[in-house]
Amino acid sequence: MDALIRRPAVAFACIALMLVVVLGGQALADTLAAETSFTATGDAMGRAGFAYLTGVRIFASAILWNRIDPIYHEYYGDLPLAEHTYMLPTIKIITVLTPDFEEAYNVGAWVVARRGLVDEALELARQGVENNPKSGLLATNYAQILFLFADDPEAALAQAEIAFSDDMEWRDLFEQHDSYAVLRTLFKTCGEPERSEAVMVEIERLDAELGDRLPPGSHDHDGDGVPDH
Amino acid sequence: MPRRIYAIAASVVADALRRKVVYVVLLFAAVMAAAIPLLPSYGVGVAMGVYREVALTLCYVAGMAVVLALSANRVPGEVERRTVYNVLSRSVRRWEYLIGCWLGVLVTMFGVLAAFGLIVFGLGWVNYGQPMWTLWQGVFAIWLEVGVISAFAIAVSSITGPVVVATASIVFWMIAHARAGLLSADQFAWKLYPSLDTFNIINPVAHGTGVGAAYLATMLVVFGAWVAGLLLAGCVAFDRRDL
Repeated sequence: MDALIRRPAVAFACIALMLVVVLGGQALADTLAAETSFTATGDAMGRAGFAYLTGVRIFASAILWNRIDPIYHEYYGDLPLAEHTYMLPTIKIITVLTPDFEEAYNVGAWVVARRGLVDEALELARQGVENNPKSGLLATNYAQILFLFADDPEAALAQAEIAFSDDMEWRDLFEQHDSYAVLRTLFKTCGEPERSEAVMVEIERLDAELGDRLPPGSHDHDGDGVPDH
Repeated sequence: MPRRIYAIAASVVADALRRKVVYVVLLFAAVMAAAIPLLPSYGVGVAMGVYREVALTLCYVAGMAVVLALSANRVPGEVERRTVYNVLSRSVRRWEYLIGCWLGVLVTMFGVLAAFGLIVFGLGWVNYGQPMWTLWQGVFAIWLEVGVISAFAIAVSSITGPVVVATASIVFWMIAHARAGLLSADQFAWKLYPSLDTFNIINPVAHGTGVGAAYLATMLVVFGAWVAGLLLAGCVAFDRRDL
């Protein structure tokens, strides 16, 4: 070893040899791993960090969303949906931070669609369904965008069937009721009267269950049981 | 000769065990590992896979933090305090000292990663009701990789101070894992890019059935070549240094 270290040329030749062994070894490892999906270290660390930051991400998304809400109601309430572009960057951040934040996809896709950017709207709606496969709201939203803006009744019907299936989850009965009303119209317009009737039966059942209750978030300042605005 | 190397390695292990950083990082990582089952599982049916992936990533990050803390200041600290002269004046060769230091860090890391492996293995068994034996393959691969990082850090530390060593080690680590981002497997340069990706078996361990014996043997060969090359370069540099 002493002789090796004292003779740099030989030492560097050995180092070069070791490098060749490293390259040969990793080429062999690549071959052996050909059938296995290896992830980049950064990806794994990113996913772990993303998971650990769950609470922080949801908190940040809620703050961002709550920031949009008063702006919409107090400043731009009278504007048509297509004009609400100020919320799009925030919506994008929210969907990145919290992929299961359903409201963001729902509102975002409509704003974009109303501006005529159909492909972008479809992409956002599709992402919403992909990240929230059990969300009835987003499945209905996707079906609606496909039908109204993409002019693709076949795909819209398929998506509407998914939205109307028993597997879907709804945040409350009001959301389910309103979405079923959309689905009923969609089935009817697409020439599926039987499916439309089936949805109507469910709507009537939900009507009976809801009774005179007001939807969450309704403003009934005078207490007459009718939302004021 | 081996007796002198082992003696230095033993003193490095004893010194490492006195340092709080090892226990702090281990405790912090263990607490985070205990929280893994509370994390979102990304979907039904993959909760165990996610547990294994996050557990190995934690093990990896903790291992990197500890190995840098142990390796970066090993030689520069001894040189600065002049305690290295006491060692080198007792017929210990410089290369023996350097290899002894690396061996000591490697043995310490074996203990640290084995302890962390036991924690995540035990937690996984308790939470999911079945032993995840393949986790040990992942822990073994991480141990090999931190061994290479340690060899790099000790080689660089033979000629410079701890800040440069830590920075250089992190840069080395990043470059050695950048192959998949910079190149694609069908390019010729792919084969010429020295990489540490060989030791990255988190995915097959977490979401698959692990890797075979041939792959493990290949990892050992690559590990041996990396360490031999880096330590030889470090020994040559240290031998020529004017202490």
